[in-house]
Amino acid sequence: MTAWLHRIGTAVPRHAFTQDFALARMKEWMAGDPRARYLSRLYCHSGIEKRHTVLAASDKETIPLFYARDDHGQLAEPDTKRRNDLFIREATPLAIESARNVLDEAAGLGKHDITHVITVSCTGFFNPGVDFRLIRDLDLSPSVQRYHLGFMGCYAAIPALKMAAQFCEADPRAVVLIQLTELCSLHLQLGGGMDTLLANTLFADGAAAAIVSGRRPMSDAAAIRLDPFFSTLIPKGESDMAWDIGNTGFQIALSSYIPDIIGGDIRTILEPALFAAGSHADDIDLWAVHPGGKAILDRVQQEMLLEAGQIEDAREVLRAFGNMSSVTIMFVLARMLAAGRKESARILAMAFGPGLTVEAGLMTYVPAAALPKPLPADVDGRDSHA
Amino acid sequence: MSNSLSSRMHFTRGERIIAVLYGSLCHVLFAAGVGAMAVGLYTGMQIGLLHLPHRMAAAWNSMLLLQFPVIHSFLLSDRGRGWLDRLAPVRLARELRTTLFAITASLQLLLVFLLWSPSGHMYWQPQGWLAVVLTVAYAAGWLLLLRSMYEAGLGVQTGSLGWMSVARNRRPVYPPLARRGLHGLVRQPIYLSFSLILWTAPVWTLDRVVITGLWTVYCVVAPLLKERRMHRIYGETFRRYRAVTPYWLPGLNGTRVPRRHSPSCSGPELTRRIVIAGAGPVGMMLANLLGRAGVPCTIFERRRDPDNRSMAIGVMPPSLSIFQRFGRADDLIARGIPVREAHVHDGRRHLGSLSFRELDSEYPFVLSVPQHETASLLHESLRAAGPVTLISGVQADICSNGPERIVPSLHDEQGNRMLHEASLVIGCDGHRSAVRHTSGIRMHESAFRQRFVMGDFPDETGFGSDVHLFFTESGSVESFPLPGGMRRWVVLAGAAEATAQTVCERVSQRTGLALDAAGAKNVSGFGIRRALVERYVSGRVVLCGDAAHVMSPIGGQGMNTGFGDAELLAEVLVALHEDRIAPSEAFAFYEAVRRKAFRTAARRAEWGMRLGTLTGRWPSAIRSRLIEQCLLKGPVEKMLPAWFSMLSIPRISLSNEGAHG
Ligand SMILES: Cc1cc2nc3c(=O)[nH]c(=O)nc-3n(C[C@H](O)[C@H](O)[C@H](O)COP(=O)(O)OP(=O)(O)OC[C@H]3O[C@@H](n4cnc5c(N)ncnc54)[C@H](O)[C@@H]3O)c2cc1C
Repeated sequence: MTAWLHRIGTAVPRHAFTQDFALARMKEWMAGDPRARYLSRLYCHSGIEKRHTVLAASDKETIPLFYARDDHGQLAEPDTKRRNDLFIREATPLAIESARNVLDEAAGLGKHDITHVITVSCTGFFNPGVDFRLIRDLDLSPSVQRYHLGFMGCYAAIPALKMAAQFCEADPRAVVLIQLTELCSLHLQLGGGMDTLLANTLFADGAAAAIVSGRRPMSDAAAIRLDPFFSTLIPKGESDMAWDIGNTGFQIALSSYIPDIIGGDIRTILEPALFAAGSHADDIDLWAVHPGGKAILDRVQQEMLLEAGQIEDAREVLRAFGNMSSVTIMFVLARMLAAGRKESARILAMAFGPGLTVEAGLMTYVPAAALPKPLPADVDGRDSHA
Repeated sequence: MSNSLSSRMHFTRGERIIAVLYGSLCHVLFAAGVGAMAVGLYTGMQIGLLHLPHRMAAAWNSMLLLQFPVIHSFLLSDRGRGWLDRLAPVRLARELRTTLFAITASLQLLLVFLLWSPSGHMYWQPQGWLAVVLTVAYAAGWLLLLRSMYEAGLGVQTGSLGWMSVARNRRPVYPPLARRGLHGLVRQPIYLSFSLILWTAPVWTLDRVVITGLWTVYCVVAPLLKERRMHRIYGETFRRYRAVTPYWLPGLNGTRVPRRHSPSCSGPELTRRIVIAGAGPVGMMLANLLGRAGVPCTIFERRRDPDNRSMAIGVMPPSLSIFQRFGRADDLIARGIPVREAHVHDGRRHLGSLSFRELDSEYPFVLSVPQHETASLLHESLRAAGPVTLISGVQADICSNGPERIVPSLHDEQGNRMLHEASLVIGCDGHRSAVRHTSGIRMHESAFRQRFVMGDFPDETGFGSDVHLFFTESGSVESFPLPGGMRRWVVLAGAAEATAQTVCERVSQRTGLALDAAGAKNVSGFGIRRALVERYVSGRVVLCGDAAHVMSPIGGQGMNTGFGDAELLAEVLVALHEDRIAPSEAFAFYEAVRRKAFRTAARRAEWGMRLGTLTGRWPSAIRSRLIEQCLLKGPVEKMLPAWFSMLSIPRISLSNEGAHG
């Protein structure tokens, strides 16, 4: 049974800020801090132009909502509860918006067709959570199966896709709605070491939703076929990336060696895995690499000898949205899906996260014209279901 | 263009005739009033027609003297304006205000000088050379008065603005605040010269002593009221003007506040976060030049997708040299057609030709290339330009602006905000500039009556890469080559609809050539405006390109002038960035040079347009002679190509003052 990634919908918070703005704010907040001298260099080489955030939307007047100075000129650092409360308030509307963008009655992927919901997030918790609200607010069937992938980090989109593919395998009628929401800007930190300094230059907010199903895609739109997935670990990077819960927000460990670690090992990891899947790095047309940072993209491009165009979508997403954790790679795939290519293209999606975990999936972009022709049984199947 | 349309009004023929009648009355009374005053003062008030007994004369004359300032000031108040408005038909009252005001003022003057009852007390009458000196001084007072009125806007001062606007079916446009010339010496030169007249008239009678005394007091006090009104109308601009210019006597600087219109920080500080509003050709040119010089900037562009409307096609040699600064002139030339020859015809024959081959430039031609091609090349080269960020879908307005700080408001059409800090905002956002508007910079503009329709048609003429201009008695037709086997046709079209049909009809009627309406693209109509901002720089806002000025597109110089602005502004900003120049000096230089360049280009564009659009048999015949005998022959012929290709507009820069491109 083949699983298809039919549609991807994205949403970002209403307000955005330029990297220049972030730099200016950060300089102001960190005035007097010796680390402030690294700021300009970090921000200017981030490959990011703007990012979206729920912070400004939460309170019109206080743009730097979190770190307003108190009467004594001290920066008040909000605690984890305050941050999570904001998550509760802001995550749902964004999640709903992204999911609405993806439901399509006409293509037989409407709210009545959904059988499974998988939600993903590592930046906030509440229950009944986003999965419940999707059912309630989008009027999905209460009997929909719900799963939540929490706290996995940047690579969680790939396990979600993999999980959806497996549902489709088990049940040919399955129509899986994957919804990812990350509000990273809620965990902005001023203390800590270079890790947080670096993280502050990168992370942003966003949401994405996707529909995965074994049903044949409607032939007027392109789709992405999900091929084999694979995961692995780079144990030597275990301490270089981590994500845990602190008293003033979730805390990240993110060393600047990660690009080098990934860059150094990528070939040795990918080549056998691709070989096992009956493929080869040279066969990959498009690289949907999770744009964790500019240096990672640079290293992957350099090690795998890619042409600029093969990895451009990732760069563009990084440029216009920053790193939205698990959501980001869905933005990259959405760009590939929307580009209107006339030819089929082999995609390698790849994301990294704590552990150092490498999650990857082979996929195939199939233009509308090349989609498989409907079988009578297939059509019947859908009709009887609806 | 719709700006100029929205300034159109709809008055009936009858209303316009009424306006002309008011106008005639106004000017006759004005002339009579001023005449009576000139003679009356000169003769020491002895021409009055009444001869009342002493006591009564004193009372009557005082009343005459007082009614003038009292009524004059009253009519300028809100209540008074209400009264004034009753003097004309309701629909016209607002527009005719200046005329009505001039009528009443003239009547008041006439009243004073004609109905005066002379006392007959003569104190002193100069003789010989002293009389001559005083008479000369008196005349000089009048000349100064005339000059001050001219600076403040003769239309307003004489009342012609009101009636002429109605007669031309237009909304009256009030001139910007006068701040130069005599107005640069003192803020109230009209009242000052008026006092001068009062004091220099040679004959001193009792009457004269009284009138001079009372009215001098009036001249000193009345402008105080007037200034309150000006503050209301001109706001910040007036405040700054008041800070640097004395009220009444030259050299006495009333408040002496430091000059506030240029930013108070250093150049590097000011250029740390440059924001460019608008990624039109001019904004992108500026960003390219800045980026190449290593000066970071961020452009915000309102549109999400490129603008494919076709406007500017002519790129002049000086602009090509600017493209060459970042090595892209040849790429642009490859996308267009170099025009080396222009031919002029009237309805019947070929009048002569103009060749660009001999131009003293690396690029001896005018390049014809659609604006969107120029823009897309500039966009592509931005990628390699260095520290430049372009963010689309974001509109820039100014939230607050001052010498210390600027806060732009950046948002998309749904009101979603983009947070960004700016140290300086460059408005390159076109003729309807929101940056200009929201930072309160006024624009002085005038509209012309000519209307044109243009369209691009498949080229079947065999004209090749030449331009052909047809100046006929029923109007002009201009024909330019375009890449891709097309030709642009621009026809003088009066009120006709902007359709391909209109273009075809006019072309066939005036040139005998047949166009195929079915193949037409980019058909649009446009009117002609000329507009120039009152200042290019205010606080931390700098204007550039169409945001600062609009000129007739006939002549093809608008975008090119914008490129010139961008070139100089980039140079000035780089110098500021490197701390080689002080902000006030830098911006004053930019403004002075570019204002002059605009004036020159606009004057030429209008001159050419006027000549080209003369219609009717005789004017047309004279034009043909002029073109044939004077313009395309002899010494003028040698100058014209440089003139049209803008090579004769000095490209003054910081480093080479006065050098030609
Ligand atoms: C019919 C016609 C023919 C012409 N022919 C010629 C010719 O042959 N040669 C010539 O030199 N000139 C010609 N011109 C003039 C020329 O088109 C203009 O001078 C030129 O386009 C000006 O460029 P600009 O970048 O200043 O402004 P624009 O081209 O108007 O660009 C302004 C940009 O700013 C954006 N913008 C607007 N407001 C905002 C905001 N608030 N925030 C962010 N972005 C904003 C707009 O979307 C636009 O992209 C012609 C004009 C017309 C109408």
